Amino acid sequence: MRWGMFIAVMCWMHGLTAQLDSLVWDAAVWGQHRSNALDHELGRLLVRGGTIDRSLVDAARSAQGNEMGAFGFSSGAVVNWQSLETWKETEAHLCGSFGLRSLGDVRWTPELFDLVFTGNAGHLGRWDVLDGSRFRTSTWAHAAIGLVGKNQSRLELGLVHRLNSIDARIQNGHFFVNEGVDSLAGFLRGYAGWAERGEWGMLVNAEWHFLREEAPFAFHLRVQNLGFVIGPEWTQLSVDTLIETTGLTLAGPGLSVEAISESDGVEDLLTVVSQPYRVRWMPARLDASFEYPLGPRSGWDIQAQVGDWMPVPRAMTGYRRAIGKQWQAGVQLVAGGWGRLRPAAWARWRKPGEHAWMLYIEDPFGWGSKAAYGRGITLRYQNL
Amino acid sequence: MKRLSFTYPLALWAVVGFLALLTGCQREPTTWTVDVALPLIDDGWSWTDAIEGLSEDSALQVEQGTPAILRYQGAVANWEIASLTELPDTIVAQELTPEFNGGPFPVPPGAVLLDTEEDIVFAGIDQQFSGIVLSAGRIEYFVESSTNGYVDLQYDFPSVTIDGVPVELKVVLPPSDGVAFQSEQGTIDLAGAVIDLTGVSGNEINRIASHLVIGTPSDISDTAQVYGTDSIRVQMHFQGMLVEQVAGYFGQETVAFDAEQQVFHPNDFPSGFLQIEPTRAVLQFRNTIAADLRLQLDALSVDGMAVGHPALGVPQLIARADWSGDEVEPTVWEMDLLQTGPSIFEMLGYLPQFVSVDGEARLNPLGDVSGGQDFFDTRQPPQLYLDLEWPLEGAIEDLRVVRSLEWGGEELKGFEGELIMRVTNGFPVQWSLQGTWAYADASLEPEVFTLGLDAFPGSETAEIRIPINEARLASPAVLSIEAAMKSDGPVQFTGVERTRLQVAVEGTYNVEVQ
Repeated sequence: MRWGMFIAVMCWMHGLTAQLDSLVWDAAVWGQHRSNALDHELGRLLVRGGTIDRSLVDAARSAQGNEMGAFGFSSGAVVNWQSLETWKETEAHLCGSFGLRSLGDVRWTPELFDLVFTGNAGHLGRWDVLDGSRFRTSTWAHAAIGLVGKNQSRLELGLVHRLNSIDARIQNGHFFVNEGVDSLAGFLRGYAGWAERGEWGMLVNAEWHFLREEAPFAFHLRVQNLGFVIGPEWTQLSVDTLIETTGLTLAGPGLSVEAISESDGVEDLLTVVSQPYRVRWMPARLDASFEYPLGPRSGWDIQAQVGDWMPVPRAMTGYRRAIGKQWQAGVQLVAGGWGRLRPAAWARWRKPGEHAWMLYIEDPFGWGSKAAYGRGITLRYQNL
Repeated sequence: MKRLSFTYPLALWAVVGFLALLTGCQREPTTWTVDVALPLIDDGWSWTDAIEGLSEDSALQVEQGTPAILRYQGAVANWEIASLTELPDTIVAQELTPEFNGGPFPVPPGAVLLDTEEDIVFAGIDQQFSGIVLSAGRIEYFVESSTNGYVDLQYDFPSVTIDGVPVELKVVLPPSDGVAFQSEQGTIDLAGAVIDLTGVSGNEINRIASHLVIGTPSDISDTAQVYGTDSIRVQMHFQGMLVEQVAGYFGQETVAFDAEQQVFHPNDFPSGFLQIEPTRAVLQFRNTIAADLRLQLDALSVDGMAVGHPALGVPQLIARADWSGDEVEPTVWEMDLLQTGPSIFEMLGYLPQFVSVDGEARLNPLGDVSGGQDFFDTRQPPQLYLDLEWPLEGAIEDLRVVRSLEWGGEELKGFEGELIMRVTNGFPVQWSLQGTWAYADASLEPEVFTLGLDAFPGSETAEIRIPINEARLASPAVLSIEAAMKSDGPVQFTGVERTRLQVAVEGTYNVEVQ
């Protein structure tokens, strides 16, 4: 059903665009993952399997320090198009986009990392704080249509279909075992929820570009995926429990060896809630960038991004230069998002009047290195 | 300007999807090691745990103080009188046959063939009951007819009521085909039934009034064709009748009174001496029956060894209980156990297993002095009742106590570590403990350890660490601890003493995520 509707929309879009005589369009695919603590080797073992050596865990713990650990990934593909014909009597042109995207965000406290990967034996006598640890992921497809006007500023309204969505979070959590290993305290309040079926919603994509011949700089604002989805069926497990014990008594109600052995274990502590529908915001993103020409063939730019479930805003600054008539290249420094400061580089080749290719690589030194904390690649094709 | 083409993005999507498939198919378990330290068990034994657990009705209590007082006020034995609590099964059968040969003779609708009021006599009862209330019981009925016509049967028991409604049986049998009997059977539950046993006349005993009517139903127009060979049979089987209350004259029955009370189980208290010197110890017989009794206790023994008392062997006439109010006022006869010789409590100090009382009691030794007004509520039977007050002070010599704990096993892959056992003594006596951690897996050698604990206050905590691995942790096991106590002369207990056992685990194990 959900696929049927989506295909119908896509066909409608396709039919609409097929009637247009001429278009310019571009397509991009990208994938990136980044962490401030998990290096490639540890990430590979977690994803692909294998034995995690304690040195990898220690290295990750050292990299994380006392900050929240974070890992995120983003991948997808998108096609943007624009008609060359004006829209009715206006100067605007029809435009649109469609694509598929997957986004994930994981965060953990240093204490949670220690409990999971090294155990609690090294933490005796101190409180482990688990607040704010979270895991969420989502995959969605969209199709949007709108108008593009002066300076390529555009506004699109689209339909979004979120294929899956998972969200788990520890709102409050503490764990304590004293040094004599004769008392334990634990508190956990959190939830884990997921959509049982696909969700549908609306989104807005917008761009505004400040370009003036008289001004020696350019400024761009871009909003993506600003919208909401309505989930027809959402299941959520909630836990809110406190355990304080110096150990278990052998028999009797409550916390005893007898009661736990006869209970259903963790299920006794969980509350299951099934909501008939649920409205959720989409993970929107706001980009703001500033470009300043340093010469006729070179320039400097700075960009800031917020949203996309990133724990902190991502900032980029870079230098670009044209090389010959067909090549352009640049280097960047990227900070924030899910990781620490890293370099990036890009190159663009174009065949005037036909098409252009652009390749962007984030953390190019991380490719092939097990010790890097992420990598990213974007490939873009432009039909000129 | 070029015409629209989706070739490039579609190709790119295909490549990306192919790569995703390639990278997403391989997966082996992820494993790593973690160091854990967790408390598992924290339990202990106080006077309350050790002693009150022996009494299901909380009759045994420890009153904290200096010294603490152990107080027992409760029944130690009930006097069971089977003849008053169970009624024999009784079968009542009726058969109606025509007093003629040949046939058929038409019987019109609404005709009455039999209308009789009779007493159902409960045979096999030696007492003279005038009324009972049943806690359980049932009537299993069976009705059959060979008549070629509808049969209407109404069996009323006006003297049997449940919640104030008389019990009745109404059955309509369809016509028989002349070959097989038409029949019906069922059960009437008599739980809670109030039964007047004075019969139809109201002056009888052990009889239930009944009214049986057999005829043809008036609301069915068929005319029954009756032959001389036809018959209609009714069978009522009163079964499983347990009495809750009974009234009447209970006769002069003599019932043995043999009571045996377990005191110290040898598995829990294998040996030792415990000085027991109660300040009050009264054994009572509480007659809750509205009938006179003559009680004679012949012997009092501790693990088979006789204890003397002036009241033993002497018949005691105990008057009937008073049931005139809302609550029964039992008649109490008592004997002071502090007058036993040799002292029963000195013998109890050596931790015997059983205390026994032998004797008999005779109902209505003077005959029917109440004119058939005896009464018994089986929920409140006559009891042997102990009123004991024991200050917890005295000497303890090598008193051995055994406790066992069952461990169900815990699967922790690759576990290597220690089981930490810590015992804290809160009693003012010295303890020496011998523990055995015996595995259900016979291939694993049991762990045996010993611990010594000084009297409280002192260095009263001892700890032992037992190396344990995955196999030993996973195996169900029984931890048996035999504790021997001894005091340096007489000591005084306050009732708040507690011995604490803590078990924790420390070690490393492999986490595996599939």
